[in-house]
Amino acid sequence: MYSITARFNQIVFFTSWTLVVLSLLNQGTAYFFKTGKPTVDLKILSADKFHHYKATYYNGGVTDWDQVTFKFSLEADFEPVYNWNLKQLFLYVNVHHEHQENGFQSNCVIYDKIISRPDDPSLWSDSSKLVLKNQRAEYPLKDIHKQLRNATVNFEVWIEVMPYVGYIRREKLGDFQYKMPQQYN
Amino acid sequence: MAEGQSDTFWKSLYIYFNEMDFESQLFVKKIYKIIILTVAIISFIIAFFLERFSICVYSTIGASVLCILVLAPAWPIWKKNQPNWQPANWQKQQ
Repeated sequence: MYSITARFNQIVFFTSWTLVVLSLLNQGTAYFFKTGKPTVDLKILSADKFHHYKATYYNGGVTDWDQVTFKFSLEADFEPVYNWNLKQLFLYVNVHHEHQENGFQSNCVIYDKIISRPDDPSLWSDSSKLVLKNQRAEYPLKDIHKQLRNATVNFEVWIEVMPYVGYIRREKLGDFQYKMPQQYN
Repeated sequence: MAEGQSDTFWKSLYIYFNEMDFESQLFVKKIYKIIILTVAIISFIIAFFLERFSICVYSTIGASVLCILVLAPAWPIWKKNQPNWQPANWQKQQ
């Protein structure tokens, strides 16, 4: 306390320590609020541009694969996950596909979205409901083994919960089955 | 500091804000902890019931900035109890 820099130093680091303790209390008391499982409903509307694609490399090699772009509609309610420690939710739709002949398993993310939580609690009920109508998937599903025709694929809706203080965890919200068309269209 | 020399303006300003009484140093050491802890605990309880953690963080940082502005520099209020310095005797140094 004998010089101006010593006083400044002590005040700044004492404040930092109190903020660390308050953050830990923030994370610890977040579990006292209501928690539950969010509800989600996914409907696959169409499988577009289901073709057999071919591409040539610059050095002469040729590769070919199956590719499909989906259109879906999604309804979700995230109210049970909202608490004061939550910063944002990362929602993504994953397609799980198991090949019948070889037993290969593949995962592919076809759509993702970031949902931020507003700071004002009176806006929570507006921003926690998500309705997507006739949404085109951002990324196509590709299969290099060309076994997508007549296959059963599994649509999984996942959510990644990102708090202000604490661990990041992932939750699977739902599983939806879909049968691919017999032929290319 | 030899006889006949004097500090520049910035150095004498730094010396002015640097020197604080011993009594007020003890007082400042006690009071900044009390202010920041009180503000932190009360704003945490308020923020818990309003469900907004940003209230707690902003008010704690604001209280610490207030403490820095008022308590860190040696304002005239912290120079009330000067110790009895002896008068400088330049002739002994030569």
